[in-house]
Amino acid sequence: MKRRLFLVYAATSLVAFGAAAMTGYSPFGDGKQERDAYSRGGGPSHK
Amino acid sequence: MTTDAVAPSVKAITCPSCGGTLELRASGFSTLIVCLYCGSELDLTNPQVKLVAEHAQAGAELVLPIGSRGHLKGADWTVIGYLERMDGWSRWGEFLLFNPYEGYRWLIHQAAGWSFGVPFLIQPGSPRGLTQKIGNEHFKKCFRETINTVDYVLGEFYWQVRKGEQAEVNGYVSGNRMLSCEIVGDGYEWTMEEWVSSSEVAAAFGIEDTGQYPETGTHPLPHQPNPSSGLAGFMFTVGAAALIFALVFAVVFGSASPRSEASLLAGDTAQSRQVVIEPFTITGSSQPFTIDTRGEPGDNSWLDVEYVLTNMDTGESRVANQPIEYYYGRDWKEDDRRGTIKLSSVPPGRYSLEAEVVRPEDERGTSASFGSKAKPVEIVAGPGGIFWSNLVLLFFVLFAPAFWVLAKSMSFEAVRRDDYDYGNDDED
Repeated sequence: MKRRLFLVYAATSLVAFGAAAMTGYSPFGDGKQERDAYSRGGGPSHK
Repeated sequence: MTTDAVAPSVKAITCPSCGGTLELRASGFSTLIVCLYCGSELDLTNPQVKLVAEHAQAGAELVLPIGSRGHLKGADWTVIGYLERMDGWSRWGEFLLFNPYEGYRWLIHQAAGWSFGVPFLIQPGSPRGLTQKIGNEHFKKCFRETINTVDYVLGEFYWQVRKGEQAEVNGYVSGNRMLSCEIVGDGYEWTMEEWVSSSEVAAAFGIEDTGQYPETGTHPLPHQPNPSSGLAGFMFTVGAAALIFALVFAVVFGSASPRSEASLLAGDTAQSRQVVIEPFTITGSSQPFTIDTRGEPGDNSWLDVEYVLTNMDTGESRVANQPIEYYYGRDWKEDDRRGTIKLSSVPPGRYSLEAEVVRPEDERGTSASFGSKAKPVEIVAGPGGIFWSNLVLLFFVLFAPAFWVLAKSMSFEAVRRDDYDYGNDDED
């Protein structure tokens, strides 16, 4: 029963992933989509 | 005392102590019966059933009443006897089952659950050894020797069991089987116990489910199957297969269309810092749009490339920016002269991409930028691309439940081994 449930869960996750891959969707965007999202010349992070 | 027939063919007898009528269910095999009504022990080896000991103990309300019938492990069984044993830590019940063709079996009921015991006629090894081997199966000792005492007896038995009878017990475990050895004097009695679920016992004998660990005990039985171990392996296998499938799928569907390239010098003139790349055509469904940027900001400096992706038909636009930076010191370096932007779910249509490079000197004012060194920037852009973050998200979605089940499995084993006093790392 638990195995079957996990199979359904995994299949649903795969379908969601496939739909995202086919439509180029990402919940995180993977890009900096806002102008000035970065402060220009923020400088090195090295301390 | 009267008998309805002479032993061993006797079927029913009258208790000489209380007059209760007792039915013999393993007539000809049993040597002792304990009266259900008064607890008196009757010797069945003598044709004249003889009172061995008179007790006034009340009949227990047993989970499996004497005389219950059930089908378990492929055979029909009748409960003919019950005894309770106790050691220094716990108390448990043992039901003696009988089938004229199969013989005797034990159904052992402990707080944590049930075991089905088969008398083992072959002596596997030294009864006090640390391990036992049966065929290729190794049994490992899990408890120190304990002395248990028979504290309650009811029904028929194949030996002259007595209340107060003591036995030294050793337990050896392998998977969901436990080999126990009872030592009484010079005699050994080996029993192979197999864990059986409380629901299976309930279904077999038509009784209420008495439950099992973790509902009814603080520790699982040494041979109780870990309910999560097989499931965790299954989930990891399915998860890995799904992830590989998703990776292949993502690579196939995320392969980029032909991309356009542009170069900027990013010098003092505005024209050298701006470019428009067009057209990009997205057909079918929405697609990601990938922009790779590579630039030379100079030493310990930066560039900022600002992008505007505009739908040439609707005028809708998406903006993004890409910092290009290069910093270093005597013993460190931060090289971010390359960057990739992926815009998600860009709808079908024709698009143009405007790029504008901003330099540090441009921020300080127009006059300051004259005469500064050109800082070349290369741009490669087009529809398509793979969102690796989706794959990472899928990894967590698939494996989080698997890790949770694995943790449960490990916790089960930890609690189980916590109850061992042999083969336990915490053993003192």
